[in-house]
Amino acid sequence: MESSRKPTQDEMRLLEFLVQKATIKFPSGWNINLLVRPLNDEGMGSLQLIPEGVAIDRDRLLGEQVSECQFADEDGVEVIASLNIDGAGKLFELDIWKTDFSPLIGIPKKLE
Amino acid sequence: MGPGKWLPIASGKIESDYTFESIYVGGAVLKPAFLAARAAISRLFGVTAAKTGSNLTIQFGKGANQVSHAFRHTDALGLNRAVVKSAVETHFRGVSSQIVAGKPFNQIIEVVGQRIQYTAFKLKDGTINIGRIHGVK
Repeated sequence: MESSRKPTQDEMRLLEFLVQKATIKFPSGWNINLLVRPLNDEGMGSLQLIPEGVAIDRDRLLGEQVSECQFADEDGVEVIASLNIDGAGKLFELDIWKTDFSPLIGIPKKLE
Repeated sequence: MGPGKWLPIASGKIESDYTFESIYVGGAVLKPAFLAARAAISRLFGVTAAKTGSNLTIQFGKGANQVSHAFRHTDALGLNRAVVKSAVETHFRGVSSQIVAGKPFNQIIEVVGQRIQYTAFKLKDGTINIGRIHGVK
C-alpha cells in the first residue's frame, strides 16, 4: 500500500463536494490535516481517508456511505464517486469507481 | 487472470468483449476447464453469447487487484468471496431486466445473514460491471 500524503487539489475539490451533499454534517475543519492513502484499485483513484486524530495504521471498518456523485471522465466513461465513513462516523474512504474499470483520467473541474 | 476476448471470426468482425467467469477458492482465482472449452468452441464457431439473464457478461474488476478492491468490505466482514460473488450474480440475473444503461443500479441482498449492497452498471456494449459491494444495516 502506498504511503499517506495530502490530497491533491482535484481530490480535495471532489471531497468538498461530497462532504457538502452528505447525509451527515461534518464538523468544520474536517479537512484540516486530512491525509489520504491511495487504495490498490489499479488507477481508478480511490483513497483511504485519514482524518486528524485517527492513527494511520488503525484498522477501521466501513460504517456507511454518506454521499455519492457521478461524472463523466475525459473519455466519456461514467465514474461514480462515493464518500464512506467508518463505524465511528469519521471519514473513511473516497471510493472512485470508473465503471469500465479503466484508470481515471481526471476529476472534472465542475462537479454537479 | 485477465479478461478473455473473442477472436475475430472469418468475416473479420470482432464480436464483443467477453470476460470469463471465475471461481475463487482460498483467494486463488481458478478458471474451470469447461469454461475455457466453452470459450474455445464459441471462438471456433463465432458464437456470441446472448445477453440474457442467464448468460450476461458480468465483471467485478479487470484484474486481481480490482476484484480484491470490489470485495474489500465483504472480506473485512469475514464473508467468503466466492459466496458473495455467487449470491450477487444469482440475484442480479433475476433483476437484470430492470437495469438502465448509464445509471447505477443499487441492490440489497442477504448473504449468510448479512445484508449486502452491490452496485451494477451497464456499459454501452451491454457488459455489466459490479462494484461497491459492502454491508448495510
